[in-house]
Amino acid sequence: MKVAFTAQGNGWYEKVDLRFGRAKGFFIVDTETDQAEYLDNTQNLEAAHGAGTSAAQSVINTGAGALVSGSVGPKAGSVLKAAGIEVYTVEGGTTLKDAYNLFKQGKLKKQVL
Amino acid sequence: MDTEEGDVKMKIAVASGKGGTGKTLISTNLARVALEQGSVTLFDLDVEEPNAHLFFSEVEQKSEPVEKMIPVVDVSICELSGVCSKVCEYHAIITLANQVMVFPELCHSCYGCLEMCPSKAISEGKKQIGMIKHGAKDHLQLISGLLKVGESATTALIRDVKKFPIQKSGLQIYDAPPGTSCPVIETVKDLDYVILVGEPTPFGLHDLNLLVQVLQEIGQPFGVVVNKAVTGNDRIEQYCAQKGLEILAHIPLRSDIAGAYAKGQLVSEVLPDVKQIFQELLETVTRKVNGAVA
Repeated sequence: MKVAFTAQGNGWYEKVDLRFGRAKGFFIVDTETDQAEYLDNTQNLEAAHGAGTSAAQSVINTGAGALVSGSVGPKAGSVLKAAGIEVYTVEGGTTLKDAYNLFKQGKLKKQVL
Repeated sequence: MDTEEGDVKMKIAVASGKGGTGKTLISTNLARVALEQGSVTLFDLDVEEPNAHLFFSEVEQKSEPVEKMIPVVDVSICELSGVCSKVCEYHAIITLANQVMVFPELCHSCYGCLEMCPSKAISEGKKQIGMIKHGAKDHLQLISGLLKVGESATTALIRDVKKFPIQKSGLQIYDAPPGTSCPVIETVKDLDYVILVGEPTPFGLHDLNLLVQVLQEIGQPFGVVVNKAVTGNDRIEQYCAQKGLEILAHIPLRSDIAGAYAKGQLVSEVLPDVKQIFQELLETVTRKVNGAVA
């Protein structure tokens, strides 16, 4: 399965971006191979409206089955829910590496959508 | 177009980058002094919080709903091509593997999805975005927009208020929303002149400067009114001198002005010296507009 993390940058030691729609980018990890890829989201940082739904569409397009972020708003949440993507939350300051380990250990809190 | 609207004298907007600088104070009092010479149509386009009507409580306003077009997807025809989601600049329509989700609050009614859908599965629906309130008393026509809570189609509502088909004769005054983006531009475009209200605080100057740049970019003629002017504080004067901008009037920072305003009074009705400031401002702006025409 692929899991998407909102990320402040591309790299395992970058931090999870607590914003969803206006995250700097998405760090997508394949849990079978531990291989990561990065998807830039800077175009959404400038959006006046619709950053959440747009980011949800981006995450869906990556084929991810789960998302790890700070917290997801109601519109984006409804899109992710309809797409069957589960959302987990982490504390601020968590690195992508730590967040991924916590995710694999099943220690992350699930956001009810 | 002007002939259909009757005897239109000039169209002026009152705008400011920062909120709370005195747009409504100036537009309502300008309307009040102009009424002594003829008819006035006052547009309150601060649709998120219209309040010009508070100063003209004698005008009874009727309300009419304003709707916008939103896409309605026929799931029995939709082939999930995803074209609608690609063309939507505002991400108001999202295509999933098994369904299409529409977010009416995000929709800007551009009809892009409806036009581009390859299976013609999208039709036109309606959603109320707010109200237009309008009424007249003697020579004053008052039109206000009121955006529905939770709605973001501010610019669309402003456009509808400006286009609302009623007699708009005489002087037209447009009370703009604060800010420097689409709602303000929609308000001021096609008008003869913009009165920019600035207050001599660091925030006031910062946001005034932003709106000056916007108006210069779109080529809209304007002049500056310093509101809450304090002797010894020449922040705005210095800025205007540097940029070669004209100052049209000064309205002093005074507790009697603030007090009257807070009570819902028109300061030009209760304070004769302030009335004179507004009369002179109206004359100055009229000269500017007529000068530009000639």
